[in-house]
Amino acid sequence: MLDAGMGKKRRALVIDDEAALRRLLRTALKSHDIDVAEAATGKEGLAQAIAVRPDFVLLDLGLPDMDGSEVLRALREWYKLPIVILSVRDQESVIVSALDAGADDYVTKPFNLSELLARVRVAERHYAADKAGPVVEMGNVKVNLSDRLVTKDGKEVRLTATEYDVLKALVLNAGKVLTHRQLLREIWGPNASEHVQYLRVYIGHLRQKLEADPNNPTIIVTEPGVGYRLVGVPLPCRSSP
Amino acid sequence: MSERETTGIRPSPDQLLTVIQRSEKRAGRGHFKIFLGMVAGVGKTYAMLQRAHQLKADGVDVVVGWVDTHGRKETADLLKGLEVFPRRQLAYKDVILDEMDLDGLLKRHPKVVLVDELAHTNAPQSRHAKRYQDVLELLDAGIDVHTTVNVQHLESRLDVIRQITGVTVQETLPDSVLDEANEIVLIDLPPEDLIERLNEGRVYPGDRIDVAGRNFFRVGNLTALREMALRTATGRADRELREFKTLHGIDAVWKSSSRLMVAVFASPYSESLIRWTRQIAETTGATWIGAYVDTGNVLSDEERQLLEKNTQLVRTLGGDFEVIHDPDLVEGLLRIARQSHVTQIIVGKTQRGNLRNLLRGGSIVSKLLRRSGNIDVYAVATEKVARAEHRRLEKPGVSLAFPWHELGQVGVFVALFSLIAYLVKPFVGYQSVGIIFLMAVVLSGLFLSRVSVFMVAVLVSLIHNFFFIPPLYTLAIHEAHDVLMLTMFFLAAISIGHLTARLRRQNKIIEQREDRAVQLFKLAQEVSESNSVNEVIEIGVGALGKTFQAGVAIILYSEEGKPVIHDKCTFQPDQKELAVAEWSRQNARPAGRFTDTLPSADALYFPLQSHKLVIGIVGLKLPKNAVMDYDDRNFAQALSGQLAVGLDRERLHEARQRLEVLEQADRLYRTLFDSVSHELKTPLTTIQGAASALLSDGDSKEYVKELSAQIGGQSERLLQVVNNMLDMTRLETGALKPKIETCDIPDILGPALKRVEPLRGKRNIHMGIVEDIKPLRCDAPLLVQALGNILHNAVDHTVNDGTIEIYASNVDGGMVEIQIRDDGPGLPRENPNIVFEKFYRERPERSGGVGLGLSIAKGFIEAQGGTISATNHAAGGALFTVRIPSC
Repeated sequence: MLDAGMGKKRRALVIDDEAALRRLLRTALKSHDIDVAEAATGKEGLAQAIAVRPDFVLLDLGLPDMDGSEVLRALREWYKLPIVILSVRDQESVIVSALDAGADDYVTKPFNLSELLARVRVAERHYAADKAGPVVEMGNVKVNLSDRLVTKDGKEVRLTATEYDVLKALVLNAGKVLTHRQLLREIWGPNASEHVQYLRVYIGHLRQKLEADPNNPTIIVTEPGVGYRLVGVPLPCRSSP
Repeated sequence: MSERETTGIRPSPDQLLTVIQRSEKRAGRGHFKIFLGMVAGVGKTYAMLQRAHQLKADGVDVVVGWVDTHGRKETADLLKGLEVFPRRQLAYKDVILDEMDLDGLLKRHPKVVLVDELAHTNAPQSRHAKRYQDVLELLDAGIDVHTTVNVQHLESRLDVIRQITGVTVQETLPDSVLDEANEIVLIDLPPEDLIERLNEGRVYPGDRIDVAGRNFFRVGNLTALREMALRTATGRADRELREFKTLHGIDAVWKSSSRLMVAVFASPYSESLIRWTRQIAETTGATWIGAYVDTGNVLSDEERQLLEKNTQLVRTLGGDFEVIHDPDLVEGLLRIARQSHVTQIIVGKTQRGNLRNLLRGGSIVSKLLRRSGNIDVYAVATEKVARAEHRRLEKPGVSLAFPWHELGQVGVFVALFSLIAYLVKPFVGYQSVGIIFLMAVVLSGLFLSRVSVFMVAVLVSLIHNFFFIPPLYTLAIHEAHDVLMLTMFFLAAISIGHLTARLRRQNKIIEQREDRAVQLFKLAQEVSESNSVNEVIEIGVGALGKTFQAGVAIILYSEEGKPVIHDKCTFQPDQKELAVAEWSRQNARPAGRFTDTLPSADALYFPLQSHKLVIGIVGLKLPKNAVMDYDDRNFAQALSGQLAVGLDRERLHEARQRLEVLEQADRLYRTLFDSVSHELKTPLTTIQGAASALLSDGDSKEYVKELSAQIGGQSERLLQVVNNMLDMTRLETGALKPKIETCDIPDILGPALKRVEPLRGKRNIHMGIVEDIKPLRCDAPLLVQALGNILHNAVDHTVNDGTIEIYASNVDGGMVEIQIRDDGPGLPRENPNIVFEKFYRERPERSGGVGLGLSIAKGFIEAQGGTISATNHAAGGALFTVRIPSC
């Protein structure tokens, strides 16, 4: 809980029906100086969220009483901070619908704690007022959003308007997974969400122009069955007090 | 022509349908070519063989199925150089008969088969009664057939041939077979030339031509036959022209939209009438039907056989057959005519029955003429020979054979009534005693057959005369009135006896019909109340067995097509009989005894059909001397129709139940699967999470980090095993449902490589992907895992600075090929694909893995329509080739 004078301590809410996992997360997060509130069911989770006002939520999709997406939608009615999904293998379609319903990212169990925290940090940055600055660097590729300029090894890369729009959408969400639907909506508006084929083609072009090896992409990577993620952007490090 | 067809210059839908059906029927079938001649010796076989040599020279696979050279040298010479298929030898009553080997030819499946003498009748043990049926089967199998036939063998020409030549042709060919031909080649030779060839001994070598033969080969006969052959060929060409015009919408020439109807009776006259109609229909391009009116009159066995024969003839000659029930014969005929849009009715002009006609207000012909309106009526004089012929052809009336078993009853009747007569004579006098004897005859008519009634009448009149009419104890009669009395008595006795006997017989038939109707109803009811396939079969076996006094076998077929004979069946077909049943199933037509196909079989087999689907076969094994007529067969099929519906219903019901059980099992399985996978994975997840937390904690001591790494690594390994086992279970239970989407190669290769990145070490990974690689149609997560497993295997089997190469290219068949090769020790040489076997491990002594990775890869790839194979490439090392459908 809040410790007066010690600055603001961060709080997480873990909604998972597995006691062992909750305990692990509690211990691990505590060592990173994060307070943890726990809930074993969806209903409890929703109540806790209102009570403790967490800084981020870790939500398991396989809850006994409610569908994960349902909890997510109910939370998103008012909750405007990061929600990261804890999923298991072979759940791509559930993950996609959770992401489309407003989750920020996901990790697949068994997850690495640092990976989980990284995901949380990326999501937090997205909510923070200071979004990525006008210039973003991914290895040898530099994107200057204010000048609409993209360079690779210092040389300008010519992109079509749509290619640029796709890249911009990815850059603005750097480090975060974006489902096909989210990307399409961002680029072509709410009615174009069925044109997955276009997106595939533009992503292909971007890879040809930006990647060192377009066949083994390291900047725009695919999360099979889920979507795309722009990687290689250094994450802002938040040092603990 | 009637007024009806003044509007009819366009092809009617019926006509168009016929043309289309005919061309549809031909699709997928072999090409059927007939060499048509007027008589033997014009050179049909010669022409056919010459053509065969041409085909062979063009590289066509031609086989001689059956050619008879008749000892002609030119023909025999032409056979040389052609593949002559060995004949099949059949033993029949001490004789060995040669026949065409139909099954052998079907197996050999050449492009073209030559079959001489299409009208030939096969040996009794053959599958089909006639050779043309063999030929039709060859055609159905997609084999082209070239064959020969003489015009005299055509069914519809039978009467004319008999009139012209005085010879009744035994081997006949239904005209409908000729209609099936794609091509008819007329082989023509002037009669004079033929006679010259005959005289030179080139047609029948040696002295085989006898006086009868010489009589046949007269210029007059030959000219008539030649004209017939020419007309058949031109008629055919004419029809083709009409069909062409119909299909191409050229309607100006559609003059003939006439439709003929021939009235069919249970009479020997009908046969020639039917032939005549067919011929007229063919030459004028009209369609035709046969019509029978069931007036409710009870037919005798003979009459029923005749009707059956006539019905068959109409169908053989390619006409439709309509039956209507109407007590008024003329009204019935006119009703059929109107319903079927008939323009002309053809009836026979009979000589007999004039007195009866007078009483009934005119003959059929005159009544038809009066009431037919705008339908034309043709009264055709029927041949007198027909009647004579048929008399001879019919078997001697069964009813005339003496019924020996009734002899005792005859004796009892005569003795009893003689005794009564003796007792009452003193009171009434000898003349009135005659009434008692008359009584004897009348009563015997109620119990005995016609012949026995006649016997009783003869015996009692003799006894009356001998013992009662003076002078007693002689057969002499003195008084004139006694002679008159006895004569009148005898005549009355005979006619009354005859009438009662007939009445009884009719009664019996009516009873039988009623009985059958009741049986059918009962069966339908029982079947509808039954609950299982077994019950339906039991009911069917019982009903059919009782009705026909026959052994019944109901054969159902398993999914692999293996016959299953129910154990409640009262007769078990052997292997040979099952082959007959199989034929019936495949062709959806009756076969075996009483049919044209394999008539030498022990039993009759016919299909159980529901919604055009053959569910099974019914076998009926009737007693040796049994007969099966039209009614019987109809009844048997009506019974089995009910059975088929019942069986189909039960089958669907059982299938649904099975499905429900499966679904339940599936649900149960899923629940179990989910909870097992959850229970196994959660602890491992927690262990691993805890280990990673310790590892990443900066405060941890060095040995804690070391141990945490151990814990993490080992639990990761355990988790891998659990995941693999669960994947394998998903694959084997069919729970895997791939979600196919379009993906690009980088979408797959990137994540797959990422999976092995932590294990890669210093290994060199080289990629070669063609520029224009097509997008894949696949389930991305499954394919990534599959390729990841293959790459994992490659990493496992290469040294730390080894090389792994990945190639992708477009290949034929709309696939993308991905090849993954390594420079490791390679796969087992003799059978590289063994690596896909479950739990196979190349070096079991090495720890790590259970040998499921590649099996899962194979399963996942095949689940999305791809293929995978493993080999060793030339430079050593394993080569995995994966093919995935592309856009």
